[in-house]
Amino acid sequence: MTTRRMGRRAATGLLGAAALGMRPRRAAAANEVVFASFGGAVEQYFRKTLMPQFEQETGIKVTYVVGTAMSLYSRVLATRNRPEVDIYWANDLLHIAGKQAGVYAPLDAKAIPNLDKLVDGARQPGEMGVMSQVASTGLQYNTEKFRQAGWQKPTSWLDLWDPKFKGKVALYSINVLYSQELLALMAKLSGGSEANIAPGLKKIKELKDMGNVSAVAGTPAEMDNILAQGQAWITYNGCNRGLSARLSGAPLDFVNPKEGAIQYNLFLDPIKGGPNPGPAMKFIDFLIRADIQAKIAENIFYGPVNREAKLSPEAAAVLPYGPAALKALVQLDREVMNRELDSWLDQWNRVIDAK
Amino acid sequence: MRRRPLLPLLLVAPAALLFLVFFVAPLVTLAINSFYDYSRMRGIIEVFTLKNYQRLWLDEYYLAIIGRTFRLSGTVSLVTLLVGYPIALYLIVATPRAKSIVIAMILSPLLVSVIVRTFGWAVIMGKNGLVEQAFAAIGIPDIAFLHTEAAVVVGLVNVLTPFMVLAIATSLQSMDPSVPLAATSLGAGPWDLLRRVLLPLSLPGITAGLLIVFGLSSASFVTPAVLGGSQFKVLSVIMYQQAVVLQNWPFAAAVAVTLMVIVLVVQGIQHRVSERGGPQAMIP
Repeated sequence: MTTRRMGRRAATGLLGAAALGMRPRRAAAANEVVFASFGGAVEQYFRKTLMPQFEQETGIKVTYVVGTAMSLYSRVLATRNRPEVDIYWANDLLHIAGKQAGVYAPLDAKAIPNLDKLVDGARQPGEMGVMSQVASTGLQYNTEKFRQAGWQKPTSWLDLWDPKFKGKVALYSINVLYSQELLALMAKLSGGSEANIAPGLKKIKELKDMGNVSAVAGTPAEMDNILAQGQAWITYNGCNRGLSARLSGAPLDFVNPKEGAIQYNLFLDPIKGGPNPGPAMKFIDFLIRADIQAKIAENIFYGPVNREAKLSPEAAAVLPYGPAALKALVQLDREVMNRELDSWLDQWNRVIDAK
Repeated sequence: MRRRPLLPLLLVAPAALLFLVFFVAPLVTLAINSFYDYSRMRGIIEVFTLKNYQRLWLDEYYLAIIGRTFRLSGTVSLVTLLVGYPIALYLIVATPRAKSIVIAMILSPLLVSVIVRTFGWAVIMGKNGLVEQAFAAIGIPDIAFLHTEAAVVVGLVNVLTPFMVLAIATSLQSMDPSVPLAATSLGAGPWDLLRRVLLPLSLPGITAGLLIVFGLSSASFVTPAVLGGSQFKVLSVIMYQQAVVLQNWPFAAAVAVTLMVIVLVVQGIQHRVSERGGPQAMIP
């Protein structure tokens, strides 16, 4: 009897403890916002500069949830019934995918006055998210090795196929956006399209078969390593990575190929049912404000969409910035890319990753 | 009717509760998910389908990946046994001081985060790394070691050896120290001692070690992904691509369930064999 009562009390205590551990989400504090995006230089800059500035201006504290674009998106999907994140910052593809899945909420345009200052095309139909930055994918090469070999800097995407680059080219795994873009672009340049990637696949297979590919990076961090170790001398990369490598003093340069670098965009999307919708709108407004857009461009190398953002001549020269530079970029059909992604990965696995 | 004593149940209750909530329930969810349909445009569709399993089991491409996964786990288990057994033997004769040093050494890989350890190996095995230089020094230049199955095996053996050593050492230590002495005094040479006394007595440890190492290496992800490169596809890499890159959770779940079922079957067989065999069976 005593044992039983003891037991019951213990069980109650246990359940109580479990309940404590699983207490419901913190009541949304009015002065907090949860922001999910990439790690590395982006996260560093947000934590060191942008988040303190925003907190100082508004009293709103930003929590930065770090991950890769894909892993964060999976997290947003997995927690869709109890969202933990307020704003998700990633590329076109995940903007489209999330819109399709219905996990994003529209912006409250009245709370975001800076929306009126954006370039055409940045505002979305129904205010479903906002395009917040323009980025591009171009070529990256090792200036020192090229100079030693007496080679000119690369000017075309097709330079990757130059036989003299045997064992010198690094690819990204197809899990990374840059390779999905390369595949689409090569399909287009070889007579196919986003809806018909077979010619692109054949072209990239050729690159592998001719022995040019010396390494395949699973993540951008791994690519940095491959380039630093000299395992490859030339590859393709996002402008932000290319330019930050150049500024860090590494002998790596980023070039826009003559066919055009590939344009991709970053989107700020509020999560449907996110815990702090009010502060979220304020943070989005902050991030698309002219001075902050310029800061992001100068420090983490994404082109601004705010018409009033002023860039230094150095940044303006290389970033996708201004009508002429934007016009030179190649556009890909992201809707089709999103729709076909399963099939693209499957075909790449079988054709390119085959031994 | 006698009331069942409650206390024993209560003793296991916390563990059982934890196990139920954080292990069994997610596994059930996973298994259910593996029978759902999925399309990229519509997301997960909650209707029963065998599509995911058909896609996995009826395609030579995926069957090859299943085969590769278990070949890798098998190789790693055997190499770990070969590397770990001598260490475990040494531990029974070592002085306490030497013993603690050796144990600290074999445990040290576990103290480093898997990412750091794996990228460390990638540097050592990569271009102009230690491995390449060593081969060049003995006259074999231009060896590409990184991104081979051997590189993955080395990386996994490095981290899984402690599990094997500790499993075997535990069973060797439970042996009466006079047993090997008796064998030697009755005329057994070192080889006979190993084959007819030590091996049979440590068989439970060997089995446990093999099971742990096989299970852990078949589910490892970072090591095969980084050291094996993009061409080296195992089930965990496919799971990652399907779950994280494509959000096709039902197919990823089917891959996970397949992996789990095969590991369980292998463990079941191994367990039966070692139960039935036992120490006596090894002695002719």
